[in-house]
Amino acid sequence: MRIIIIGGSFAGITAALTARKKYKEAAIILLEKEEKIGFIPGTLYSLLNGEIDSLEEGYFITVEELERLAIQVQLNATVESMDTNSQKVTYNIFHQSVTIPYDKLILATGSVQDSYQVKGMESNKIVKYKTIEKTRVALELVEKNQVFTIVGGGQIGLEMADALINQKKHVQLIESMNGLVAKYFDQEMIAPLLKEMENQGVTFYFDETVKEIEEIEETVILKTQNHVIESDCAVFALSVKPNIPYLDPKVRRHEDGSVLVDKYLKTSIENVFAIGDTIQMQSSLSNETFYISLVNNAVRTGIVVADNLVHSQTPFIGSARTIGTKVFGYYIASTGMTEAESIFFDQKIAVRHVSQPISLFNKQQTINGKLIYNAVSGKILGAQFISKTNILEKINTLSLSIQMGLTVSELAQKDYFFHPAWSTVYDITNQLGLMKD
Amino acid sequence: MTEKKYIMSIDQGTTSSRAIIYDKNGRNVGNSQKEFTQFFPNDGWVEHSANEIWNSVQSVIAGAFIESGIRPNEIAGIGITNQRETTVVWDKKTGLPIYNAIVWQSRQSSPIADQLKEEGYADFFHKKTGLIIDAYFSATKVRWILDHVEGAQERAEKGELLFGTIDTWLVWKLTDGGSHVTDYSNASRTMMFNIHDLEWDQEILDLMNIPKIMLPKPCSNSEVYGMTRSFHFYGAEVPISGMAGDQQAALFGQMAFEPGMVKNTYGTGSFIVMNTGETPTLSKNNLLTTIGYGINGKVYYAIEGSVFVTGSAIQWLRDGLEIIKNAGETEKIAMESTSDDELFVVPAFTGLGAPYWDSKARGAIFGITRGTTRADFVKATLQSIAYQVRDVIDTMKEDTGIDIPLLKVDGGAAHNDYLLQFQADILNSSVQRPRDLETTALGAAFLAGLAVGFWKDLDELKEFYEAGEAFEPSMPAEKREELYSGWKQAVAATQAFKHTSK
Amino acid sequence: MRIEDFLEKREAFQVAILKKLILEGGRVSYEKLRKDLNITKASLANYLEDITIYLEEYQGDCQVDSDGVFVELFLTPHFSIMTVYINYVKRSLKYQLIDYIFNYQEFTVIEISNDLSISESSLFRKIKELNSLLKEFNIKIKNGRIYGEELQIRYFYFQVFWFLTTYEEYQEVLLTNQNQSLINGFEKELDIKLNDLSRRRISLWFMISKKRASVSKKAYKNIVQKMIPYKEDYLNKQVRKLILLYFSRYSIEVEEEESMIHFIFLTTQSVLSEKAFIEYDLVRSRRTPTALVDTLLRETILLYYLPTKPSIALERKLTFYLSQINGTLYFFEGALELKDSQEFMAKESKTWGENLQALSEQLLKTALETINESNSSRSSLEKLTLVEYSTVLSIVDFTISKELIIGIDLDLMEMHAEILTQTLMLNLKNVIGITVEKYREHHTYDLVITTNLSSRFYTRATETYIVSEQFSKFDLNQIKTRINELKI
Repeated sequence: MRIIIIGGSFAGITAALTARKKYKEAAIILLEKEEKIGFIPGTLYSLLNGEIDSLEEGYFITVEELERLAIQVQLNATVESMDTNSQKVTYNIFHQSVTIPYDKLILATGSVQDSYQVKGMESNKIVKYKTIEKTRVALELVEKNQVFTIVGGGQIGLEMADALINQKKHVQLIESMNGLVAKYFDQEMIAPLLKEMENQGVTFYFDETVKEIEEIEETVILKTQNHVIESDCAVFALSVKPNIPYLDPKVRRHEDGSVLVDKYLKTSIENVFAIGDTIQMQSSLSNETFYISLVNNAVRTGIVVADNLVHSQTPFIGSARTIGTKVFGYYIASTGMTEAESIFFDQKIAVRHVSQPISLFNKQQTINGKLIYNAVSGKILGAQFISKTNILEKINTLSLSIQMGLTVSELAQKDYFFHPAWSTVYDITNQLGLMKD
Repeated sequence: MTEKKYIMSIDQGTTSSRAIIYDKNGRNVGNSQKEFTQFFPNDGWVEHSANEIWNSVQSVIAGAFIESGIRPNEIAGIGITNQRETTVVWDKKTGLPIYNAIVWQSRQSSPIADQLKEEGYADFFHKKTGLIIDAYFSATKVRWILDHVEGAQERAEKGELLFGTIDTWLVWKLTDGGSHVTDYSNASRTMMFNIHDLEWDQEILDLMNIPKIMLPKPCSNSEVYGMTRSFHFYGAEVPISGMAGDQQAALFGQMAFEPGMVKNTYGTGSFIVMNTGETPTLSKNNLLTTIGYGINGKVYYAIEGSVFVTGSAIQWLRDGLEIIKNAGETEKIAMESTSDDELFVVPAFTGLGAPYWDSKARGAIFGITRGTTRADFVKATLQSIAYQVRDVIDTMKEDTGIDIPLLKVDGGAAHNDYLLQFQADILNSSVQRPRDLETTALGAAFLAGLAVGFWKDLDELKEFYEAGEAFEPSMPAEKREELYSGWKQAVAATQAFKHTSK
Repeated sequence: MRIEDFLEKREAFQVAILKKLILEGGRVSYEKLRKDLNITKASLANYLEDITIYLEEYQGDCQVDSDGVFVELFLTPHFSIMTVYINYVKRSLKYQLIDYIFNYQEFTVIEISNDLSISESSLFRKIKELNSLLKEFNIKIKNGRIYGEELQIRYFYFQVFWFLTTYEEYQEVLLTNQNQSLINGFEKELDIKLNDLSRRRISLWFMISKKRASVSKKAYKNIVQKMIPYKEDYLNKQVRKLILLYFSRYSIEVEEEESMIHFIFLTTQSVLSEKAFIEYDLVRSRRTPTALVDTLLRETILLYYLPTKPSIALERKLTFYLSQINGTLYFFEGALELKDSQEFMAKESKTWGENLQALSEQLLKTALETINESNSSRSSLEKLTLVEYSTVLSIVDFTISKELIIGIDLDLMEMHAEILTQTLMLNLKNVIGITVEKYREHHTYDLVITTNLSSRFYTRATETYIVSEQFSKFDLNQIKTRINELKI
């Protein structure tokens, strides 16, 4: 069996490693268009915040490690086309076209930071971070400039704002919606963070959509429907898009251009699979699929796909969209649906808020939590936490609850450890289950 | 530039909204009217949708233009007159009301008013505002809304909410949030306005816990408050330049500019308003002191009394007793009566007002004989209206010490010649009925026209104003006093009767 | 344009024959058909033969027979002739072209002529023909893509697809989970209820929109201009919020104009119910051209009928219909006509008097003046608007001047029934605008006065009033009130 995997980032590499264990005899070929594999897209943030010292640390695996496992890696190989009739893939390597056959094909090219709507995306004064090339340029831009405008108030936007403020830069932020990380947080939960950012000098433009980016001499000008915003540099922090220009038109896509897969991650064409940022993920909460670009999804689909290459046997459990990060001194974490988003859900929902000290002995620090659940069945649908103490791990309890279909009353009875220095009498996750309406 | 040939008056009443366009001679050249929904969420509660009112006003403005063929840019100014005391609280940012408009008759805030009375604030309010504590007035309604809409008090304190009576609401809407103003006549019906200082009374606001930041700016009755935003006025920017509560607008529309001039509107009840000049007079008989109007830097005060049952007595003849088919025929029927006015009807359906203030009294009829006819009944009922008006006017004379030689009348029953003649006889004063009975709308038009120089001054108004018909007293003094003492006796007898079934 | 404009001449004649047959009750003489369609005997024979072959696939469900003298159409009871029309359109080359462009957004001449198996020259000819049809929508096909205002492109596809999508297709293809959650979102966020028709319309609209949303270089010039007055509108803001949230769930980059497009769709394309619209009408911004026109036209109509005042219910209905028509007139260009407007007007005006026709003209004039559109050459949308105003006026006219027919049906002993019937008729004699008669079976009545407690006895939707044998003044008053309610 000859397995070809296109894309050497989290999804593709995980798929290769898992397939290796499962199919001892198979030939596994990984095609990667960059000169290295396994670049971590968040490296820029970690570098700016001093968590790592050099770009070289921004890799989670090397070619050598893969080759030791007899996974063949073809670097600098840009896939140009695929033919599902003859089961062949054509790639370009150093200006030469090479066509190779496959038995199983896994599309794992991930996503690209681009916009089809904003004019002037080709400007050199836009900070991007997804590849090592872009990160290198970005570091230089950060070094040389003082005023930055971040386009997009999602997780990436917040992290970039945090890193830039730490670098003593002046930061402005433009967001189309009327709040921060609105996909993951209800605005009342995130209000303290917003306030903190304002205190630290971040200027916000909410309800504004960037239409055009223009460079005039040393200045970058961002035009929205209402404003013209000037700065030295722009930071691209909008959602990413599936990066699949080579896709055979016969492979069915969603209306948004991402690849349509069944629950075994198989596309509409036999022997072709897709994972990570190329597909819409099954939601853990309903029958819907979403486009959710998260490393955890890339990894998990990479594992599941290997199971299904020969026989469809392991369905992908879906995504609860779990995130966590620390910005401006706040740890924030979210899983499942938000209250704002619950309008798309066809059943009645209810919410609970809890605020409590971080532990029995530490009453200064508090943790704020919110739970969203089905008002009828009591099933947990979503949760959000914010605290100045690291509570990020707690979100995993909730995401597990969602995936296991736990109810509020089951959550209230969850087993947990107690230690007066490290916990409260009632763990917040239990407390969320206990609260009366 | 188009010649500005007209003034538009918007008359926003309790059951309908109207727009009337007036020409330079004060003639009605186009009008439109539209009813809107009355909500009765609970016993004794009456509410309107403030947005529906705004909608209806938009519609009648359009209707008046369409009917008359006059174009918006031919309008020199807009006058607004309105149902008074009705209370709206809305969100400053979205422009959406946070609760229905609570209408003046609505009783939901009575407990708040009762408590103020119990705590002994009657004098406190009377001295400052000229009013007797009651749920009619806006203050308790605002309090009620702030108490009953979640988070309202806090939002009001932050300046996120605005209060207004209907005049304020309409100007705010017409100017697209540009002007948040009220006029003295409306402000003086809120029970929060100090009629001496012409400012919101901080002590009252503190007592009621109503944030000043939500109140509109009080202005005179004739000045430019703002311009209509073009889309709201069909493409034209027109100054809104006159505003007054309905009763005060009627006083102005009746040209009652001098102290001692009185107008009476015969509606469902009767509203009698007397111009008392530039200093306020406080009544010893529970009549209300309000501001009549403020114009050209001067403020004219008024004293106001009301008769609870006027038109409703005639409705009772029609719907209760079923002895008449319509109100119009009462005049003819009354004339047919041959009796000697010995029958007295005291229509105290809901108690007696000024100067008796007996809420427990109920109606009575005296002097029935074998010869009493339907016509006598109708006549006596009409007379009861006139007697009650005299009761109030006598009280006004007593309170102010001003003589009243002339009563100006309007309203539905003012069409009734018999009533007006009897009114003149029993008052021993002239009764004057203007040509145009829409004095409320006309008054607002006058106020608006004067502010923008459409009319130069009051003298110019007098030039074209047609006084209409006058009814002169012709009853011998002896007979008058005999009849009136008969009425007084009938009232006394009515008050003596307090039997209630247990 | 008309939907038949997609067809080639030959197919157009075939559809015309079928339509004629439907109109004439299924049977037309050969001669009449030939004359009405203005074709030779030979061509008619030719077309009939084509039809016979074409209809073979329906296996007898739909069949056209001809004996040389008469032509006759046979349809089985569960078969809709619409299926045949739809298939004619779907198989036409011009339709396939626009469908192809919709699906692929961009194409090269080689790709498209390969995929549709046509020559390059006929491709160019068809594109030229299509462009002349698309002109009224102010869109065109050029250089391998479709050009024009984004709103116009979606509007055009929506009109065409709406006509061509069958109910079953909606159930299967369009009511996906994603569309379902959007509908949930609309219902919850805007606090409205959407009926089955609105749901299907939303689904189709969003299917088109998602497809189009990722196209780059969209044109929004007119829409941005036209939406300026709507910036502060309550619903517009709500829709913006909802759309941004919805699209953030997918890999679709949303421009500022995207939500404008959906606001326009929602308020003009028969999506909101009357009830939902009336609630919106209370809070909507009055500073908009459409709000202005709605009020002006409504008041013009009300003034026309004075002193008769329509009921509040009728006034609301009127406001609602006008808002849909005026919104379309203000925001859109072009129209896909489903019935012949000229024919409709001609038929209407006969029964209907010139006054109301003049009134429709006046309404259109007022509307165009207010929204600053020139009235020089009347576009197809304006013609359609005129027809729609006429329809609204017909509804008002009909409701206001309706003569009520009242039946009296008393299930009593003969003598009692007789005297009570007489009393009732006598008492109702002076009420204007009603006809009273003894109830006859199989006749339609607006109101039946009866002693019969089971109203199921009467045909569906017949209003009834139940009187007791002891007929009272109370009963009479109630009946009169009922009559007044029914009249308005």
